[in-house]
Amino acid sequence: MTALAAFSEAVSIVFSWPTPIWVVIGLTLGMIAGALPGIGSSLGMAIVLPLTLPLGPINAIILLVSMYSGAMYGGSISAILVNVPGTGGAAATTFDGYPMAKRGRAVDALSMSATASATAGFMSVLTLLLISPILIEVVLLFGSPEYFLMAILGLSMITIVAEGSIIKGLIAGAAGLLVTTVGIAPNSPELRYTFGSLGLYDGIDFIAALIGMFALAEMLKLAGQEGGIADADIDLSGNTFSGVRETFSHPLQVIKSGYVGMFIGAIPGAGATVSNFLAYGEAMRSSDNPDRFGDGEPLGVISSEASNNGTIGGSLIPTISFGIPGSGSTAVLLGGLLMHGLRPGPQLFETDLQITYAFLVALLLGNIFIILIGVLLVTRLAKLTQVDTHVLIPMILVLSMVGGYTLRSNWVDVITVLALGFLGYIMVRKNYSIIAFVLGVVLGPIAEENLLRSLQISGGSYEIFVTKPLSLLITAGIFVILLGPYVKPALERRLT
Amino acid sequence: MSSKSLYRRLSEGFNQEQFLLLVFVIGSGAALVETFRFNISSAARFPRLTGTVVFVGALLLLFSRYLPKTLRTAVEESGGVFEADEEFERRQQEVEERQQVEDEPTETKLIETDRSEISTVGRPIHDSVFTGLAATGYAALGFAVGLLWATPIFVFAYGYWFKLPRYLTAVLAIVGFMIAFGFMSVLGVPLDRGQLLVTGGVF
Repeated sequence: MTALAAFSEAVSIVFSWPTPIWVVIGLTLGMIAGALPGIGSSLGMAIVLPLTLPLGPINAIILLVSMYSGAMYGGSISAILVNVPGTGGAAATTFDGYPMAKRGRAVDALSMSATASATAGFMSVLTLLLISPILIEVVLLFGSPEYFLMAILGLSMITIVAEGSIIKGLIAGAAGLLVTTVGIAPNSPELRYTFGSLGLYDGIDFIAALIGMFALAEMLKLAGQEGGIADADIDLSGNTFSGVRETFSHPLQVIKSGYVGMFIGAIPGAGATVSNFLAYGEAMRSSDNPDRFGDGEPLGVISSEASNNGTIGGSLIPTISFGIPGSGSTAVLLGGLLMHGLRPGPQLFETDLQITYAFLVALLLGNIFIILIGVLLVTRLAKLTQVDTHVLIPMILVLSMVGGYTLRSNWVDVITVLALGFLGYIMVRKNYSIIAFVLGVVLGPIAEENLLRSLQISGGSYEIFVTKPLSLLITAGIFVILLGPYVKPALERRLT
Repeated sequence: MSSKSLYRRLSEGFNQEQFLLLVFVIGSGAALVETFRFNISSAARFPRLTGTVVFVGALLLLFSRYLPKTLRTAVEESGGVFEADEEFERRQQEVEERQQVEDEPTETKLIETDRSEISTVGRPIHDSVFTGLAATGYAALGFAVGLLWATPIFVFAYGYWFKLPRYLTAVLAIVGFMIAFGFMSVLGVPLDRGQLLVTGGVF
C-alpha cells in the first residue's frame, strides 16, 4: 500500500462514525485527568486501558492518543488557576500562568494555553506525517539485532535522563525486564518462575503492572498529602479572544517551542517534563525583556504550553517505529497497541500503515477540538481543580482493582497491581525511575524475542550485535550513553 | 509505651530504600539461582542477563558506604543530561520565592499540619499506610466475596477513616458499585462471584 493510499484510507477511517466521538471523549477525559492534580495523562490512560477491551484496535488507540493530547492541555488548567501543575509537562506554566490569573487574566492565560497547545500539537503531528515516508525507510532497515539493541538504547537513555543515580535507573529498567520473564519462555516451552501456579503460566500482565505503577503508587503518595485545594480562590476573569490573539501574534515563539518539544519528546525518558522547562528557558533567553518572566509574561505560558503538546509528535516517533516509548503516557499507549494486537515497527509501517496514519489524523483533528473544547469548557474544567483528593483516591482504587481483574479474570493481576503499586510507591519516594521500570515491563517480551532470534541467526554468537554498521552504531551509542557521565568529567579534567 | 508511639518508633526506624534494595537483591538472586534449573538453556539467557544487572546494582547501592571513594562516586553518579543553565535556575528560584511569600499564610498552615501529625485527618497511622492496607483488604475481600460486593464496603471504610461527610461517602459507594457493575455488564467479567462466598454469583 502506498503512503498516499494509506493516508486517504486513514482520513476515511477517522471521519467515519463513531470514530470522531472517540476523539472527543478521549480529549475530554484527558483534559479532566490533566486538570486533576495528581492524576495526569499516564494514570488516566492506564485506568482507561481495560475499558478499551470491547473497542476495536483503531478506536481504542484513537481514544488513548486523544487522552494523551487532551491531558497535556488539561495540565495547564490547575497550573494557571491554583499554581499546581496537573502534569509535569505544565510545571513551567505555573511561573507566569498563576501570576496572570492573580492579575485577573486567568481566562486569557487559559485560552493562550489552549491555542498554543493546539497549534504546536497540530504542527508536530503534521511534521511527523510529512517525515513518515523517510521514517518508513529507516524502520525497514532494522532487523532483530537492531530491535533488541534499540530496546537497550531506550532503557539506557532513560537512566541518564532520569534524576538520581544511573545505577538506580539501570536497576529499575532491568527489574522491569526481569518481571516479564515470568511464564512460558518465548521460542521454547520452558515454564519460568510459575511455582506450579496456573495463573502465572501466561506471565505478569503488563497492563496490570502499568496500573499498579501509575495508579496505585500515585494514590498511595497522594493519600499522604493534604486533602486537596478545595479552598483555593479561583477568579475566572479575563478575555478568551485576547488570549487567542496574543498567541497568534507570537508565531515564531509557538513554532520554536513546539519543535523544542518535538525534539525532546523523541528522546526516550525526556518528554514534556523536560521540554517545558527547556522551551521556557529558551523563550526567556531570547526575549528582550527577560525580567518580565515569572511575573505574568504571556510568552512564558505560550512557550511552556506549545512545547508540552509539541512533545506528542516527537514521542510517537520512537514509540511506533521501534516500540520505545518516550514517556509514561507513551508507555501506556504502547501497552494499548500491544493489547490490541498492534506491534510497533515494520508492521505499523507496512501492512498497518493506514492504522498508523489514522492515529496521526485523529491527533490533528483532536488539536482542532482542543481549542473548541478548551475554550468552551474552561469554566467547567476549572471546577475540577477544586476536587478533594480523598474523593478521587477511592474511585481510582476501585477502577484500578476492578480494571486489573477484568484484564484476564485472573487474581494474579490484582496481586500484580498491589505488589507493583507498593514497589512503585517506594521507588518514587526514593528517586528510582518508574518510567524505566515500566519501559522494562513493556519492552521485555520484545527485547527477549529479538535477542533470542538474533542469537539463533548467529548460531549463539554475540558478534551479531557489532557486525552490521547499523547495529555497531547503536551498540556504540549505548556505551557512549552509559559511560559518558563517568568519562566526561575525567576528560574535562585532563583537558583543563 | 502506647500503640501510637510504638507505631511512630517502628515507622521512623523503617528504612524504605534498604527494604527496596533487599527486595531487589532477594528477588533477582532467587531468579538467578532458578535459571540453573531450567531444562532449556536459551530460556535462561535473558533472565540471567537482567537478573545479574539487578543483583549487582542493588548490592552496590546497598553497600555503597563501604565502597572505596572512587567506586562510591561512580555508583552515586547522576546522569543529569538536561540540567538547566545557571541563569534559568536563578530565575526559577526567584519566582518560587516570590510566590512563596505571596502564599505564606496557606503554606505555613500546611507545614504546621505536617510537623505535628502523621495523618492529615488526625489518625494514629500514616494516611499512605492506611490506604495501602485498605487496598489490600479490598482485594482480599474481593477475592472472598467478589469485587462487586467488596467495593462499597471499601469505599465506606475509606470515607469513615478520612472523615468524609456521610452523604459524600454514600454517593461515592454508589458510584463505586456502579463502576464495578458497569465493568461486569459491559465486559462480562464475573465480579459478583467470590472464591469463598457467593461462588455462584447473583446476577
